[in-house]
Amino acid sequence: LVPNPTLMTDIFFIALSLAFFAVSIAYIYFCDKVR
Amino acid sequence: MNASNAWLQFAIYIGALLLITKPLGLYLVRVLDARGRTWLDPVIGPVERLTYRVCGIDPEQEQGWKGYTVSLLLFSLVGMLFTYAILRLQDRLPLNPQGLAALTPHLAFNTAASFITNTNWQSYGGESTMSYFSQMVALALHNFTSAATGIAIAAALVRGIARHTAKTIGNFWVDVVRVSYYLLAPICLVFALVLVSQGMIQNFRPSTTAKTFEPYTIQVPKTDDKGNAVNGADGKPVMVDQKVDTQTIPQGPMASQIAIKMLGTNGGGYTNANAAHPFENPTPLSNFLQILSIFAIPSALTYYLGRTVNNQRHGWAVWGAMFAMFVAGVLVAWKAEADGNPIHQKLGVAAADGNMEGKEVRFGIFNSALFATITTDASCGAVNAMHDSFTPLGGLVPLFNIETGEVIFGGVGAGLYGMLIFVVLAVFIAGLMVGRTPEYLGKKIESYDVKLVVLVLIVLAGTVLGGTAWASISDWGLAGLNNAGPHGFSEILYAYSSSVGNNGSAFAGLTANEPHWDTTLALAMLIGRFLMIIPIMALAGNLAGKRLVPASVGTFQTEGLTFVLLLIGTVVLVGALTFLPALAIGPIVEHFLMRAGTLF
Repeated sequence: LVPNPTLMTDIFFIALSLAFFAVSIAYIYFCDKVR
Repeated sequence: MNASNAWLQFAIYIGALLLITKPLGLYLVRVLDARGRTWLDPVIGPVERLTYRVCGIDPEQEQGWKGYTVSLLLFSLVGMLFTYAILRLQDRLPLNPQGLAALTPHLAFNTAASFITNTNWQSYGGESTMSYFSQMVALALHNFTSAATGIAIAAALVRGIARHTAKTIGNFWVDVVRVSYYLLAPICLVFALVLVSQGMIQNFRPSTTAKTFEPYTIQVPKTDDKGNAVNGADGKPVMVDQKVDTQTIPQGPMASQIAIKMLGTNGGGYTNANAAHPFENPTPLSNFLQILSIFAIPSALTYYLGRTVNNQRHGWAVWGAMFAMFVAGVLVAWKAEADGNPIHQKLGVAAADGNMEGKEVRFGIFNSALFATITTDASCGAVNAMHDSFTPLGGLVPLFNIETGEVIFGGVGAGLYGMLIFVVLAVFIAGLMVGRTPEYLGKKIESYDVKLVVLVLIVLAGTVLGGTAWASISDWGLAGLNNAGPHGFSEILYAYSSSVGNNGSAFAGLTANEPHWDTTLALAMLIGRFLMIIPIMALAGNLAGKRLVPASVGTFQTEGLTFVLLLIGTVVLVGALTFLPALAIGPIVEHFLMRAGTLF
């Protein structure tokens, strides 16, 4: 996925972390709405 | 070791576990009550209040399940970015006497995800990768915070069960602060000193270089002047002999990290050999205390459950179900390893005790099987023997333990909240059997509760099996394998089971430090932790808001032998139905092939 340890790969992994936690917060509302 | 000695050790272990369950459980009741008083108040109370003041936390202000969960997620996100930054900047930070390089981005991402989720999966060797600063500030710190987070979630769920017509389930920040300050830190302070007394190292010295008694020769790839590997005409690396007559002996702040590694069911080794290393597990007593500390808090949390829901027999029933499955796992793993490998026996090269491949001779068959069972019953993942070298059935036990969701005592907090998911499912199944609306401790279990339980179970199964399937048909997945056939498949299945289950142990034949493995396993850890926690927190909030219904003659009793058996059946059947097909083409077929004379 990421061949070299560059600034771009750092940005990719930081963005991936942020994206995962954003999805998690959205999942809170999904779990609330499935009732 | 003879069998009677092993049985005696097993009995002492069980006795010690029983002995600490009640007092530690009572202590947890006080710690997990924001207004609870403990004997450490005079020392820790001012520090606790100062923390609240500095961080702007109102300890009297409770949160609903959504507020609690958002706090938890934000806390974990900050921890993840903080860890990632330290690991990527390691070469510029202090306490790095070996001059170790910064981690690659994919390894830093994997390691950050691993330690904030309490998994401690390690795609690296600790002593050759991590500076002392990284070990202490990035890793050991998260051993505390991730353990405290797990206990906080369990406490929130138990409060949800215990309360009625309530809108709140506690304050996340208060729970994490109190668990860290009153429970984990004081015990670890004492525990680390005990480990030092057993010979565990704790220093900031650089590694020691020693002359070996017996020099030996290994083959290494030939390199050119620039350090690049030289390939022959066939395109393969040219190998040359290299004489080895020195050994690098690791040093560093080990005891302070190992205490919380075990007590917090984290499991990440300071060294690559983990608890098989003589520094990391110096004596029989250190081995005993380490495995006792893995189960200490999870066992005590069942007592906390009973006390908080005002039904101590229910707490003991949950403990009993966990205990029965624990004993069964130990006996199967012990028997499989003691029986050994029939092919080695036929060749006359087998050890007398059983299968000693991958085991530390100081610990032998029983203590290796016991450690392997405990570390995978809990979501610890520390090892004192290499699970990859267990017999197929011996290796099946840790794998299956993880795939139950690690509810056999389980990780700190994670074991209890995972088991309570199965309790709700068991009660629901019992209700279906008799045609009544199921009840759990005076609350009706309704469709929304069961939907949330199913969401938890789907995340576990879907991520483990989906990740395994993807890696099994990918070039990058197969490239990491050290073994062919069903054993290679077991290595992949174990990796994803361990990651989603937040265990962290491995079938170590797998080489996972490359971008695809590091990234997919990191995502598996994050999904296994947070996407399972969210529906559990929703369940806590929903249960807290319910009204109590009076018990009647048709109410299913959540204590006693019938409940214990139903609970065990639910855990085993859900695990078996979900993972049996995968286990059949991994360790089970490998067992039969071994009996037929084929090894992998």
